[in-house]
Amino acid sequence: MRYFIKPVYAHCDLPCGIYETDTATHAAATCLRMIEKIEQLGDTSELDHHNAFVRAIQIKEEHAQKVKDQLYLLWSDYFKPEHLEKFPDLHNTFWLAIKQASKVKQTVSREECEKLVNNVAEIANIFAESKK
Amino acid sequence: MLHIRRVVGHSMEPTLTEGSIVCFIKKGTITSNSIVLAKINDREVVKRVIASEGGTFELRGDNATQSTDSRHYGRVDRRDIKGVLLTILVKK
Repeated sequence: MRYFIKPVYAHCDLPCGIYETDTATHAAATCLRMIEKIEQLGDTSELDHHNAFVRAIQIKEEHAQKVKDQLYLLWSDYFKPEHLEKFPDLHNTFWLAIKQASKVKQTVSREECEKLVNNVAEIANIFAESKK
Repeated sequence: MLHIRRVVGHSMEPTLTEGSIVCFIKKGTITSNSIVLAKINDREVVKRVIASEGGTFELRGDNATQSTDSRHYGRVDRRDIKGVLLTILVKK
């Protein structure tokens, strides 16, 4: 009977509007963690260490891409023109963060990963502010 | 005239939970804090009125972090408000 009653949507928009920044935040943190793991490995000439090194690089690559994917999604689908009034630097903030994710993929650098973590944190703050 | 609807989604929780059956009255008086049935992009949504000005209304979901509302699609014209919540017939 219930399903014959017309629905009213107390829902996010279509496409699915359940937007969040946790995934990008965790992905950026994972990139940094992989660098820490690599630093702890030291000499990677030994087979087991080399294996761990390759896996850490693979995980860094995957999670840096995840950051890019999440940021593209937020930028294109969540943020609207009216958000630019409150966050005039929005486009540049996203552009720099996405470029930084690429930099993390291209390097094995704690500094570059830390920059990415900060970039994503800045976007997470903007996102939280936009919900108020 | 009444509109009976079944709630789909979580953007009005905890006030209206998914699966609840609600009743709106057409041409009801809209005040600040009213819960209304609105038509947005050919789709009926249920949101709360948090402000009004010049015949337009600012809508917001009670579960703000899970809601797409006036923050995204702007203020809603009176013509697009189809009813005001009269009662919750079945609360899930």
